[in-house]
Amino acid sequence: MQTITKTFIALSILLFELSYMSHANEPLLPLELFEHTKTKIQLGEQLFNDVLLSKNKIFSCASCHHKNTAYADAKAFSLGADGKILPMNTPSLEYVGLNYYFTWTGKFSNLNKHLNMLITNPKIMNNSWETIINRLTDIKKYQHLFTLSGYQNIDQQTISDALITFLLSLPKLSRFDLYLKGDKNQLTSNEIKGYQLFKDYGCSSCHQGVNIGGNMRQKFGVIRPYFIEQEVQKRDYGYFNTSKNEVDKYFFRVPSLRNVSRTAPYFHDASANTLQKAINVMFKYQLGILPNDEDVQDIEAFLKSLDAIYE
Amino acid sequence: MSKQIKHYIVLFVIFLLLSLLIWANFNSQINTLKSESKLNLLLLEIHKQDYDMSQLILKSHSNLNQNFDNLANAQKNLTTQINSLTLLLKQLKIKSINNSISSDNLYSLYQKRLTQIEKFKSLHANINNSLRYLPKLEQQIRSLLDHQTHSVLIQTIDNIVINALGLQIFTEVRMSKRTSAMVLNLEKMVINTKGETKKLINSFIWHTRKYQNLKNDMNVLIPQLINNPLANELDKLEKIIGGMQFKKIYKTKKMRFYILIYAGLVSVIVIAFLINRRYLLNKVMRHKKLSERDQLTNLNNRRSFIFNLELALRNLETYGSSGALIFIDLDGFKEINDTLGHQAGDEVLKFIAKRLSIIEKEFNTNTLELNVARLGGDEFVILLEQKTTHSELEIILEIAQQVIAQCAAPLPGQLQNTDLSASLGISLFPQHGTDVTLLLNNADKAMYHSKRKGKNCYTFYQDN
Repeated sequence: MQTITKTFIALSILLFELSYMSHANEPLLPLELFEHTKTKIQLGEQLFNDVLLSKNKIFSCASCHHKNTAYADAKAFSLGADGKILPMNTPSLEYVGLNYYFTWTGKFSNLNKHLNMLITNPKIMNNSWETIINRLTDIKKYQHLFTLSGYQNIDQQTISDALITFLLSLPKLSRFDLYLKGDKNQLTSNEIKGYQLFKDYGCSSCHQGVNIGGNMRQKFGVIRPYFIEQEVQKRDYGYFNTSKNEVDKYFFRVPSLRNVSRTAPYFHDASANTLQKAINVMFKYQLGILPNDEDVQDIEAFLKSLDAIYE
Repeated sequence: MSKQIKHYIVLFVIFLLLSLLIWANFNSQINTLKSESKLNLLLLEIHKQDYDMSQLILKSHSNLNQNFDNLANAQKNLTTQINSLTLLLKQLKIKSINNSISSDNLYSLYQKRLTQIEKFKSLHANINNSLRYLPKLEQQIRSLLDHQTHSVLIQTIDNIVINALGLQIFTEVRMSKRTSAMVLNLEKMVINTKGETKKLINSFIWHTRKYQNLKNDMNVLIPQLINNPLANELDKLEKIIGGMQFKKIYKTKKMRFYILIYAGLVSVIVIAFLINRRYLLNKVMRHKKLSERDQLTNLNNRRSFIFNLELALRNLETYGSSGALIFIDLDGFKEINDTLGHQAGDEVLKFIAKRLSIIEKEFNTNTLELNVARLGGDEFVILLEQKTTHSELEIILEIAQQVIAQCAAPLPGQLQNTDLSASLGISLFPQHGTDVTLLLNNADKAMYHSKRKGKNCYTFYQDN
């Protein structure tokens, strides 16, 4: 059974790679899924929902990344571990495995390091790896699960691996993926028109790739400046906060547009409550165009077609 | 022990040594240590990844690739590889190899490269968006202006947009100069417009300038990305590590031992070769000597005598020499053969040959060269060569007299009562000819004359 799974994984990775290569000429790429071992995913999900990961044992990852709202928070800002609200909107985790950078500024390029930051950050989990390891080893059920998943022992590397495997198993196909793969009946004519407008207006020069975004950084306010000088906060400086380089001011990671209709409010400062408003902001500040309402509606329909299909 | 067996023994020994050599080679562990080969492999991978990244950048730049997924993937791979490399270098304790190369320097170069790639990506997207925005602005301006009054204005704006959209691989500099000139014209013309149109046209001018700046930035960035210093640093690192590894291998004791074995084996083979060569040469020399000698008397045979004569005749002019042929025919030899038998005859010939050899040795000097040969049967010949242009007759006479005396002298042992003498015929060269056959004939005639005179004498050839 193990060999079959392994060969299947290998084959699907190979096919994933092959299809990857052939789509380099398109701005948007369809999603390719591949299987992970089921036990690892179950273990990861259990850890994800477990309050033991936080210091005060009150909240877990799922407290802010709700399953029903595309693993994001329906609020503008979530509550942090120190009781104050966090400065930036909580991003959705559903397609996080397909991104090349993580966090709003793209500070991390490695999920392991990002997870390490989350666990040890006093505003988020406010915990340490030793505490978590001690807590988990005390519970027999976890020991059993870890051995079932094929891990030798419980430590930072195996816990991170289980969580990340769970996260990587979350992506699901959308109607748009099926359309790109050849089923032309999946999109309505409005949605197809919206896709064409998306490419023509130039949205796909940044929101591109398999995750419709997530593989580059771009300035927020390309054609017109978005931030008013007097009201700008530290969070608005974007990647400048990490690199301390003047040229990186107001640069953010281009977010993925998959499942976007479910992750309102939008932008790092949650300044757009509806998808239409977000699209208008993008037009005005990133493309410099004032579009007509019909185009905005068509694009909104197209973006809705990017939603994951839940069975 | 026969030579064949000796040869076989030598071959066997060489075969043994060769097997030893092959065994030594397999056991020598001249391969680098595992961890160091890991380092080499990693450096190769990083180099390849870096090169692939440059390729992907170019592809995106020329719009062959419409998305950055492959490039971002390559960035991710490079990060993992550089991290493993710094870890490996720390493990192997190669911190700072030279003043210029250290793992910190490598890391900072890699970070710089990644930052540059990020800049490229956002710049590329900005340029594409500018290219989309400018025509839209142009359309808006067109819709507001009256075509007839502002035809020049509209045309300038049109040209600017066409320049921006055109494919500009070779004419980039020229195009941008033209665009700048047109923008300046436009600035002058905008004064004549008002209100919404003025705002739009000013915005158009601003965006065109911005687009040109973006293009310039890109043109500066692309060469930096392609001729990247990270690859150069990796090259240097590879060379230094390769050198370090070679020194390490060379210093190991085993290596020196095996070099010794190799050298010893090679010298054995060379010596064996030289000995064999010497042996072969000797064999050939002996064989050659054998073919020149008369078997019974060990004097030169007829063939080598002719050869020597021809040589002497060839040397006549070049060395200014002269010479003589003294034909010797033994008188009474036939009777000895008939009465005492062939074995006795052989003995006689051997004695005579010995005595002639003594004469040869006696008269051989720097200027006079004698050569005794047996022509066959009971005929002998002495070849004389002198380094004077005219034959000195005195010495020839003396030699001839000695020959006659020696041939007539009594023989020892059983052959005591034999009656032997010699008839001599002498021809001189170059006086009596420079041709071999002619000289032989003349000497023969002279000898025949000696026989008719009563034998036991010598005669010089005369032309009558």
